[in-house]
Amino acid sequence: MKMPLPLIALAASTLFACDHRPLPPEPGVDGLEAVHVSGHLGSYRDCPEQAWENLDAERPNANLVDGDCATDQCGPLNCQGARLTFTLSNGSDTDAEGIGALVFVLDREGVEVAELPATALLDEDGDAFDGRLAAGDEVLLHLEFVGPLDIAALVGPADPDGDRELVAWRNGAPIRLVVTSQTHEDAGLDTPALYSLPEVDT
Amino acid sequence: MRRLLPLLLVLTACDAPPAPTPVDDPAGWMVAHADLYLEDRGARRAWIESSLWRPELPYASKRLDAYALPAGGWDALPEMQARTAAVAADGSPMPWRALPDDIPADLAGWRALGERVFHELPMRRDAYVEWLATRPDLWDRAGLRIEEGAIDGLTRFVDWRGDERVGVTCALCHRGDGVPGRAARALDLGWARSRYVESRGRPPGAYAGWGRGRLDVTEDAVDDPLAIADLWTLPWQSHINTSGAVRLDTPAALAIRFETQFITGHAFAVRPPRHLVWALAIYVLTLDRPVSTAPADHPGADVFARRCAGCHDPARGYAGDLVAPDGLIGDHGPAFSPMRGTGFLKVPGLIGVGAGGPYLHDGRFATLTALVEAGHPFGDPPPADDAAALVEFLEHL
Ligand code: HEC
Ligand code: HEC
Repeated sequence: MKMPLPLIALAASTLFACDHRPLPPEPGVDGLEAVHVSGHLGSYRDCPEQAWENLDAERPNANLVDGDCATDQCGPLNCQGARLTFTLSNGSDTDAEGIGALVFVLDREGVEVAELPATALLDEDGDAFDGRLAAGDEVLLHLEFVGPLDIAALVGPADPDGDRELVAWRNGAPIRLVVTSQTHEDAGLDTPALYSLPEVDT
Repeated sequence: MRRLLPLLLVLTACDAPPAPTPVDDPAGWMVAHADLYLEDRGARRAWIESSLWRPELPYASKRLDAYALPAGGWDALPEMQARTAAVAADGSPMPWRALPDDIPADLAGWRALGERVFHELPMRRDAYVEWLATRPDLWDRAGLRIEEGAIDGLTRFVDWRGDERVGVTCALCHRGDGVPGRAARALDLGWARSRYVESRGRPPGAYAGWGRGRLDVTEDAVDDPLAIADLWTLPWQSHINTSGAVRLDTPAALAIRFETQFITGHAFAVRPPRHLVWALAIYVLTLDRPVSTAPADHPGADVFARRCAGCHDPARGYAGDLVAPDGLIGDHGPAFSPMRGTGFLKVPGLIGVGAGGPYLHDGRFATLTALVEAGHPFGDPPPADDAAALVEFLEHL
């Protein structure tokens, strides 16, 4: 069936005119908005048992911070939990409460392949975030989570041809952050590829 | 001509990448452009984009995804504290000192500030270094140096959580024998870290085999430690890092490289104050350099001109542009590293090269004689007389 052009136009305009579904909130205007700042997948080479792959039900949350080796479980430098830093703003006119966050690893196609357990949500100074954000305010938050020992195994098929781009890809992966709250719609972001921490940086 | 065309194409494809001509007076350029760096995000963005000439490498994409963005990204990180204290050899507390907020007025001021940054600002924190600071019995073997009662290259600071920590400064790796700019060839961080891990009842990782003066600087699965570089020829280099992943189109690229290095070193939680890294770049560009003591008519100079100067340019501190590693004797690994491999290797400068080896990025030659006799670069050693003259010439650079 062929529909004459004017008719299509008419149908389309009626569609819009009659659609009373609310428009999705514009990010940053009347809801919570998260913007990616920085992040890394941690480093578990000296403590593989603390990594995501080796978590078990009895000991779900390895909370490693900044290579902090106050405990005997963790080795040097390379034992550091993963972290995502972002800004969160509340563009609405109501205070937000009960703010929390979830983290997922994405594969090459942008599909969530695993949820990584969050261990702490901290404010800019490293203190626990109280989960409240007043209307109009913005905060910098650090979300700590359990990172993978081997991101390559998580996100990519083996690359028998040694394809450079794929090799590069397999050293890192994007993370999806979902910010939840009791009062507002979820906010979220997908990061660019994040990597585990290098042993030395130059 | 028709038959030549494909050949020409192949030639161009294998050719080294275009190299920028380093600016004439890099330190002067930096003093003149400080405002742009400090105030113009767009300028910083343009500089990083042109300096990371292989944007698809993870080393580059990681930075391009995050640096000088219109919103968010690393610019949104809080600044790190610039208050530090030396780490006394006997463990006693040392006075706190703060790097100034003021923007220096002239070259001398910038340079003096940069020198302080080189010695005081923590580039990263390492738990094992913190532990090492409490183990004087290991310092000698680890290659740490004590100067005026303090451990050179270590600094006490307050991290973003407010905890007091010990970090490493540029001086730890780039002030060998107490000479600013000289690679710390005795430093054995892999060994030190192994001792730390063992003290916790664990088997050490690949770093146990790094050896003195070498570190693995990439976050990939490949174990590829690289020699710490001497810093005297930066004003003439077109690229830095063994694989040349950073191009020095302008000296600003150097400051950005340091800024992002501090950010990664502090696990992406803080960024350094920008005037401090700008000052640091000015300082490393103006380091006092060892002066060649080889007479101009030294017979080795002639051998060098014939066999070496094609890559190591005497007018540029004997540094050169990037070269494809095909045919070079030695390891080509860094040219093809997953994180930073550009397909090329940097031709390093040779100022101060006589102060001691080992040589090449993997330290495969213990002495200059070994390097020359093995026929670096292409496995074709000079006749014995020429070789001896050449080695003597190199020893005086
Ligand atoms: C833990 C040791 C270590 C510390 C600390 C360190 N570096 Fe380095 N630096 C290295 C190594 C190793 C290389 C060689 C990397 C490569 O070849 O890719 C290097 C390379 C460089 C280069 C490139 C030289 C060239 O020609 O390619 C510069 C410039 C530099 N460092 C400056 C600094 C400054 C400034 C600081 C302080 C912020 C610093 N480094 C801190 C180990 C270190
Ligand atoms: C084709 C270009 C090329 C030529 C010609 C060349 N070199 Fe090199 N040279 C290099 C490269 C590339 C490196 C770094 C290789 C590495 O680190 O693996 C290097 C490294 C060196 C080093 C080690 C520097 C250090 O700090 O470790 C010395 C010394 C040296 N060359 C001397 C010479 C001498 C002497 C000649 C002449 C006999 C020569 N080179 C000719 C490309 C060249």
